[in-house]
Amino acid sequence: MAAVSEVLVLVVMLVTACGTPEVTEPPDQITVQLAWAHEALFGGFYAADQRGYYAEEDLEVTFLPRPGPGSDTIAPVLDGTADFGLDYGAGLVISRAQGRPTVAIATIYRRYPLAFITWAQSGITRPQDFPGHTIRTLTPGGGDVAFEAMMTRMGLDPDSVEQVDVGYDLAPFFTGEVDIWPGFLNYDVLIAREQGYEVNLILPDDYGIHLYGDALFTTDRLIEENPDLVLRFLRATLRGWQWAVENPQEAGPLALEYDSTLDAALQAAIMEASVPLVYTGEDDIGWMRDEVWEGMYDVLLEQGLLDEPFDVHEAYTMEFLQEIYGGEQ
Amino acid sequence: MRLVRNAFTRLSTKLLLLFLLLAIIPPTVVGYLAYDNGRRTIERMTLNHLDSTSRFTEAAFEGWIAGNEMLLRSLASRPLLEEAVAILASNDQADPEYRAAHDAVLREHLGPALEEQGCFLELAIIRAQDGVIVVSSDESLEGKYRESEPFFVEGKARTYVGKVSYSLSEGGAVMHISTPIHDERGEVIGVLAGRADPAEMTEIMRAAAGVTASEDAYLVNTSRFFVTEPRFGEGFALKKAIHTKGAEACLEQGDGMGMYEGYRGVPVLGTYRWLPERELCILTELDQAEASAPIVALRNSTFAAGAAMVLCAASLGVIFTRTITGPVLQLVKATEEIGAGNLNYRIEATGRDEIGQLAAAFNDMTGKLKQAEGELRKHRGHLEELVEERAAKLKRTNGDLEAEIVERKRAAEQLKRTMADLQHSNKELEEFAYVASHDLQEPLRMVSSYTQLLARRYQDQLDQDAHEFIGYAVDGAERMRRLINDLLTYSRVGTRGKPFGKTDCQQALQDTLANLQTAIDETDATVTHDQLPTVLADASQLIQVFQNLVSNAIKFRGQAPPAIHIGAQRQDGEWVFSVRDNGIGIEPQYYERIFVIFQRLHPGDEYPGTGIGLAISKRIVERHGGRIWVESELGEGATFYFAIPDKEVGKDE
Repeated sequence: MAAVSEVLVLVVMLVTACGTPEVTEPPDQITVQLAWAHEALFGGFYAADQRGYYAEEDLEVTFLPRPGPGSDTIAPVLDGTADFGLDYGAGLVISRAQGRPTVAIATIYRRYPLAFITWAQSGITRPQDFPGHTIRTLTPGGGDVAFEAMMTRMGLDPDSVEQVDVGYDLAPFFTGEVDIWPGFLNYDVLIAREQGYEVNLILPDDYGIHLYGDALFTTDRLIEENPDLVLRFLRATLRGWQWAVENPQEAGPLALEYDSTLDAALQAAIMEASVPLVYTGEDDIGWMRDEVWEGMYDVLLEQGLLDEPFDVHEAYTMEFLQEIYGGEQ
Repeated sequence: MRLVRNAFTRLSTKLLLLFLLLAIIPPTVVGYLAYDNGRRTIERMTLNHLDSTSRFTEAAFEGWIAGNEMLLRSLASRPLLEEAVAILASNDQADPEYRAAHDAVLREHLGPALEEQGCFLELAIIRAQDGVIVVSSDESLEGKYRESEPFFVEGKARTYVGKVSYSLSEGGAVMHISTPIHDERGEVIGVLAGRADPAEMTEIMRAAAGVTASEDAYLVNTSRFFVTEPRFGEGFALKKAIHTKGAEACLEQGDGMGMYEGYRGVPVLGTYRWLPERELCILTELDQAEASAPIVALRNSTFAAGAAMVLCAASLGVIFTRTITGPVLQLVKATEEIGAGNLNYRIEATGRDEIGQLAAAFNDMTGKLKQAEGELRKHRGHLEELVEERAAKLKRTNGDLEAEIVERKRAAEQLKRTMADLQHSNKELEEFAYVASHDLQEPLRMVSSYTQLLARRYQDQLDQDAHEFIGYAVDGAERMRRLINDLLTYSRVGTRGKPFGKTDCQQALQDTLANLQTAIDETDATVTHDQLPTVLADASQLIQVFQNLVSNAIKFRGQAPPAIHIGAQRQDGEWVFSVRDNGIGIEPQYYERIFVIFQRLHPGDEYPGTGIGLAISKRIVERHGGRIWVESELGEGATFYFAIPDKEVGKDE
């Protein structure tokens, strides 16, 4: 028996030795600036983190929640606080137009997640019904571009709708204090329906305004200096999203790892509601279309939100998506 | 002995192993071959079946699309619809004509089409210039823009079949099919779009498959997401991706088939077809477990039977080894015991088989051995005495024997001397007889001739009595002469015989018969004979024998003319000649006497002769080393036999 034990020990040693033949470099530290507080909205990132996809790409990722609705998510990426950030597509076009070196590498929310919500019995079902009603204050990334563009596109005056500053809590909407609520399909609509309200959804997409939701971006410099890091990060992230789309009930509660005060069931519902926005059935997860970027540029130019014309194709790159998915779609 | 025992233990193990091998190998080999062959056949058949299901499903799917396209095209080409759409395209919404056109389209075209055909969930007309839905069977969609949707952009140019995608407006997965609407000048004024029901696609997939427990067919898009609901999943369409090898292979290479892990994580047999126009994969799959269920059942039953056989063989092996090597071991032990001198050892009773019989025989033997040993011991003392006594007796006898041998030697010596004396005296006697008879003839002739002279000269002077007396004297002398001649002849047989040579008996008999021709003719005798051999003999003496016997046969004839047969038979290394006649025969008490010289059975006047013939014959035959005898019954004829050794002619002398 002694001999057998010795042999076993030897074998174990050999196997262990074979398992770690090289001394690994410490993983690359990555920081991501999220576009909101910790929520299941970012389930794909959480999945990539917790399921070890980042680790497999030799990455260690830290997530920075957005401090507040009005805060800029681009500045931390530009100043080096974060390596990657999330911002809505139009915001990135504007940023680039302002000369900030931001580049979108993939769009997570390929459908604009914001809808204008009204009570079902309000009779407000389309933009033409808006004038004379009240709407919650619109903020950048919180529906300002979409609202104005949609109204303009429909030949309506945005100012014909009164903006009311009631904060972000849905209570004023439920009490009828505000008629039109710019809300997210994967949050506000869920809450409203959960509270038992039947609501109309007026979608910018139905009125010719096609905006991307949150897109993942970085800087020209990182792409230039460490494209491999960008590729690895994006690859792991998209794997995480693929898994999250397929397993929303499991992916949602992953958010609790970063904010233990969250409600698991709500997070699962948020993730569930996010799936059609992330994977639409048209293209691969994260994929971007030129015409959408061009459309956003047109809308913004039309709205006078761009100081001067520029090549919108600078605002995003397909390099990494093509590398990951292979070729044109 | 320990070695032997070990050997038997090894034998048990070997027997057991042999039984096990015999039980395991054949069913294993046969079972495996049958299983493997069956499995491959079933796989091939299943894949062929799945392939045909796949083709059938594709055809059904394409047929469904084609039907929908046709419906849209026929609807879009209706002149009344075109007119109405032209109004909707050019007039303002507030225009009463617009409203009327809208209602007409909905009431007369889209509504009935939806009801009658039931193929679409919704039908809509999109204005060509701005992409606005001007009429829809779902009124809530009217006024919405579809300006960038492929089914609008592409639908302006041709009949278009869209991808299945998620629509926020419609709150689920949709698939649009669209076709352009032209005005009277041929300008495109709108697009007729139908929202197909993805559930129908799922139904088409499931209709073709789903006959068996696990057969499945579904569509997968280029992002590897389910497009239709697979059989074992709800809410999979556009929500669940598929990462199976089948789906990957299809998206990379197109058509094919194989065995891989299905979307449920169970091994499946699958075929996949790439539908390039739709950019979809159609996968048909069947659980390997279901496909191979019959062969697995076969395998299991084979395995069970095999296991049972192994168990049986093992049990049999154990029993056999116990019943064979057990008793053998007992025998070995018994041998050891008995070898060590323990004759009381007995083997326990075993079965009635050979081993049992052997054990019984062994026990029996041991018993007898013991008994024998007892008796042996008992008799040993007595035996020793007996042996001593016998030895003493033997010693005495031995002395006697030695004495007797000396005596016999002496007797043999005596005999030899006597024989030599006898031979000598015999020789002398023969010489004497010859000389005597020869020398006696002269005085006898003188007596005879002078008596005859006396009778002739004194014929007249002598009276009757004197003549009579002279007659007696002459006769006596004559008889005396004949006796002397015969005696001479008789003695010559021994002293004047010629050396033996090759003698043709046939010829000898011919010579004999020639000598006797007169007598034969006179008596009217018949002489027959067998084929006679050639023997080694004194030819003249042989003739003499024949002559004596044949002339006797004629002489002692009965009433009938003599019938004589001379035969020859070879028996036991000698030729036995026979001379048979039909004469008066001889009484048995005379069989010996007739061969004695001058012995006569009958008075001289009745049968002339001196009684020398047979004596001479006997003497001749004996000279040839043979015998002579007679067999006869009185009045029934007689047969004389003489045997001459059949020495190989020409070898001796």
